[in-house]
Amino acid sequence: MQYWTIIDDRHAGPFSVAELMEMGIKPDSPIWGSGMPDWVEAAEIEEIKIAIRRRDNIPVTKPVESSPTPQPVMQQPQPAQPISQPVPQPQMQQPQMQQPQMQPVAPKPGPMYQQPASPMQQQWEWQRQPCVPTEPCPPSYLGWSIAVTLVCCQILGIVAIIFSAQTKQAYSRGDLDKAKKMSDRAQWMIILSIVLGLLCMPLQMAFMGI
Amino acid sequence: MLRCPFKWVTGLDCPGCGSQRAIRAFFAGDPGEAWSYNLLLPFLLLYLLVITLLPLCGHGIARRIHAALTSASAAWILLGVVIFWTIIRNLINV
Repeated sequence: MQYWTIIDDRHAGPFSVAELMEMGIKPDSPIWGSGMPDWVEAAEIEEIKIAIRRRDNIPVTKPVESSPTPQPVMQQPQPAQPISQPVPQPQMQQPQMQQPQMQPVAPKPGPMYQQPASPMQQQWEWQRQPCVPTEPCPPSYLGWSIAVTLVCCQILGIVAIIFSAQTKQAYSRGDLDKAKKMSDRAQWMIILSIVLGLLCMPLQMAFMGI
Repeated sequence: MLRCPFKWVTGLDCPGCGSQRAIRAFFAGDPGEAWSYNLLLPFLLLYLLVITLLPLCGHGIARRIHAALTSASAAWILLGVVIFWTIIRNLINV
């Protein structure tokens, strides 16, 4: 499971549990994971709560086995010691592989790989850290649907409201594909509604014999 | 003034009917009369205003309120309200 958090008022993620621990997540930090309807406090997620407890009690042993997803071997960029960035190999990892914890000596994943970070790594790191809300919900256009219902074409507007509700519902179930599909449909309904509304005007004028 | 196509075809009031008269009355300086043309309109406009402005102040609380206001349940409630309002206004002619 991957999680998002909020750093300096901006969404950041996705992170594995182990990464969240390294970032110094507190029990009351806001956390969101795909499939969750809303942000919750970190302590409300069992997996993270356990990890925080372990981290705070025994700082040396990492809560590695509790994370179902592999941690891409990454750390927060630290200006003080830019050299200590391990090599990221996210795409090579299988979900079951417990790569970093193969070396029991190492408390932090991958200090053996110490080498200067390449520009590409740094770029990747940069894109990940201050992070655009990557996956969060596709737009549901609820406001537009309401506006269109009031102004343009009511029936299509109401259909648009239904689609935007379904967008959010599919998203909160973790069904991102369906959410995107519903989001697109809501968008089309709104466009159609506006177009129809505009078409009606000259038609009306013609009929009413201006 | 443009006539609502829905009203034009069916003879029934749509949820937005009365908006133009309401806006005219509002700018003519009579908010009370404006409201009487479409009772739901000011609430929906307020809702639209709030969900448009909330993301601009990017605090945690604002984000939470915005998320709640645009959630699936909020959408279903709004849908219910709009349909209910349409039925009611046609039954008792408000």
